Amino acid sequence: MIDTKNLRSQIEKIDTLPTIPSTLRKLLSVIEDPKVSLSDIGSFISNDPVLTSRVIKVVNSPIYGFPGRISSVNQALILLGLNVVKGMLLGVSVFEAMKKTMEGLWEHSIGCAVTSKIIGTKKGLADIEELSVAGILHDIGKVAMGLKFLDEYKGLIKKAIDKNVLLIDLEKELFFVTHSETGAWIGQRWNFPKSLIEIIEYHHKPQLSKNYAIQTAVVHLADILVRAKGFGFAGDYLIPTINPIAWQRVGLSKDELKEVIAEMEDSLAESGEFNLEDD
Amino acid sequence: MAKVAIANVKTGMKLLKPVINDSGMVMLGEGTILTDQMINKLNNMNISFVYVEGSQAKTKSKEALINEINERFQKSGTNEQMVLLHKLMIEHIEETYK
Repeated sequence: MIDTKNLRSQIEKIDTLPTIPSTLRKLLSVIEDPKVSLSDIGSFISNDPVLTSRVIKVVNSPIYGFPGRISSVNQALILLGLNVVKGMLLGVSVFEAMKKTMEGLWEHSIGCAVTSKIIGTKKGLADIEELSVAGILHDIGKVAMGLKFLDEYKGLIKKAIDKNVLLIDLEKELFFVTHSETGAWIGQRWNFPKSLIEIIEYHHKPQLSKNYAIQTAVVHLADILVRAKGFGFAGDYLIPTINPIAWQRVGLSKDELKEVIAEMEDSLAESGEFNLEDD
Repeated sequence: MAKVAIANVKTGMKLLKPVINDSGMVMLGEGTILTDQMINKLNNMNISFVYVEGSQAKTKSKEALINEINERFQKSGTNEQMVLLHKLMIEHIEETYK
């Protein structure tokens, strides 16, 4: 058994693990600074050709879906704004770690980003791009646990598949916390925006979200829809149950839900091919 | 809409998204019906996929897809929203394969 306090300090230190990609470590040193400006971030990206190419790929992907092609980093930064850019950079930098932790988690995460965007657009919510970022990063706690406790976590995933149970229930058994909490710890440690931390922390208990209740409910629902579609892999082959309070908060009618499912079909087909592998 | 690799593109397919080259120029507009000549041109460009009209590439039978959905939903219980979602997912497959 691992006690929670000790676990938290280990999880918070994952940026010092040798398996952390160097881009992510460098990026963290930039975005952890609360006074960082868009132009600081712009020059950080432009100095790194790999990061530059990934940023261009991501902003032209269905995750953001801007009309026309965006060809420069500066143009992307202006369109997206500081908070979204920070989240997007984290997303592209945890890409390798996601692949390493769980085959299919990246697809699950972009699926969730795309679906959050579809639902957010349908409900006329503001800050849709922030919802997309939350979709990409909602399971970052799984990455943290997988990086720190690779063998134990792989064992949990195997058990979840063999016994056909939800991974989150097995996390609770072994660690006494779930990827929602570990994700929120990481978010606090890495200075994520408050909305993002709250969505990560409550995406499985959306009824507890106070300040970003609708956004949390949207990501909760998107997570479930992507699993229902069987797109990507989030650690088990089951679908968690929709929380009735979250369902009410999003307020999709039956017809709207049907439209969301149809729109997901096209967007997921496009993002299925979307990969950050450097070519 | 279906995403089709250039190798599998056939004359007469209708583009649902424009084809854009590396410098961002639109080479073929949305709605274009592809001809042999255009397909040759696409082959010479650095483009791997186009989006054409038609339903999803049907790699699985309708029954297989429905079975998979039922399996995923097997433990989701009798929660009202889950029952609705399950029903709509099946309906969606039925309609796609009509």
